[in-house]
Amino acid sequence: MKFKSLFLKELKQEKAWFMYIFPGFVILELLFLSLYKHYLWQCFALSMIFIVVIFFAVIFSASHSLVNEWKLHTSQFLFSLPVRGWHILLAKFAVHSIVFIVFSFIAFFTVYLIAKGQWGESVWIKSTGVVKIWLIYLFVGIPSMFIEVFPRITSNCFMRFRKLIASFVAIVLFIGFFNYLLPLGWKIFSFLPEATFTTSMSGQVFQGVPMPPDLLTIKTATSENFLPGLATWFLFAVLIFIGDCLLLEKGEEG
Amino acid sequence: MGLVLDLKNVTKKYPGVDALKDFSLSLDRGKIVGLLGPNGSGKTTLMKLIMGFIKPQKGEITVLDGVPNPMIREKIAYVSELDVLYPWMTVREILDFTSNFYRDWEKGKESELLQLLAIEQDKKIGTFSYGMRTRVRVMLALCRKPELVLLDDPFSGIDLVSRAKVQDALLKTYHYKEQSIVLATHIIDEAEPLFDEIVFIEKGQINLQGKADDLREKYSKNITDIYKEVFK
Repeated sequence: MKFKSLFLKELKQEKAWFMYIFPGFVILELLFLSLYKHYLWQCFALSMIFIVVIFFAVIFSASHSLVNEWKLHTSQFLFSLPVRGWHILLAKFAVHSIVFIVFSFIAFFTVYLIAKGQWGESVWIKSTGVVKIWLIYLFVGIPSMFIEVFPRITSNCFMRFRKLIASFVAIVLFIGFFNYLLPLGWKIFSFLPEATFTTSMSGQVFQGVPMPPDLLTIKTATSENFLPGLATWFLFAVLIFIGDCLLLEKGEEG
Repeated sequence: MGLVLDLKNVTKKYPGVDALKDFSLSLDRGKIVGLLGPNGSGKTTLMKLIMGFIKPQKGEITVLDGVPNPMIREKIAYVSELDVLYPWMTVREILDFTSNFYRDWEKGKESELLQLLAIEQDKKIGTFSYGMRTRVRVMLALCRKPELVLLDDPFSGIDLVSRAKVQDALLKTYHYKEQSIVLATHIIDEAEPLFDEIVFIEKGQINLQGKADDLREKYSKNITDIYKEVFK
């Protein structure tokens, strides 16, 4: 009940995403779909850019939503409620995850439809491949919200030099993950099943020309099994989320 | 009758300021206590410590037989001195939202308090004046029946009419001997008749403490005049 109330409150607070941004976004994507036969690369590039923009916009919106609670003092009202830190954070992240899923799905679907309409499904882009990339995108993006907000919550536990502390924590997280945790996680999770992207153009018909057998095989994402990397990222995000919740309760004075 | 609040040798420092210094205070249940002191005396810090928003560097705090933590807030109603409500919510929405978190929420009190405090429930909080928004904040506390009510400067920056309405609502909804109210303020005139006990606080330390009637008798003055003398 408490979580549901917080979730609904967040949903109302973030209604701009659904009421104003969403219709505009859908209209733009429909515009790309209707114009790509005349302006192929422009439409294709812009819809690809949207995928990147959504990634950063939603992640920053999630942390901005929390920071705004402190700025507007509504945090004092929120924290005076008998709820734990994880209730508050999870409600915020849940709503932003929905935004992330809905918007990115439309963006990916648009790119897929343009590619399919222009080159046909079997050439280099397959629906199953797009779904796979989209799922990885979600798997990287949603945990990023927990991680992005961590330096801000940490800095709130201190009375001075908050921006400096937030920057320092962000750098430590970045270096710590990529230099130490990721290589370690890759070893630990090496038992996970093989998952790579291999897109082959062999035997396909590309722009009216049949490709000779075994002409080209592109391992698009990585030639290594990427699942250990994703698993490490996910575990890292879970640990950071626990840290977020504990520090949120400790550093409410902001 | 046990203690509602027990603070032992509490020290809270901010950079360059000692907000509370070796502060000790025990309050009995079922009383209305006035926490009086000028701006910057440590009243708000004390409230925040009781709520568990901040932690002391030193000392022990016991609230309703427990340590301040998020779950003990189910038994406490806190009215912040700050404008803490969501401006995009209507009064109806904030009432519905807040009521979901408390088992002691008295639905029947809502309409009575809306009328008493002259609040329109369909209006957005962001459209209200500061005085009206204060009334809404107080209303959220009074719609409940908590063991402890903490009111942090509810009379500050609001007009006479709002002050009178808040005071009236406080008196009408107070559960005598069951509830404890700690009212921090530096505006004493209107609030004086409410107090059972008074704690004068200055620079993070207790200056004077006692039952309101005893203080009046001892100094042969009303609380406002004692306040002026204590803080002159």
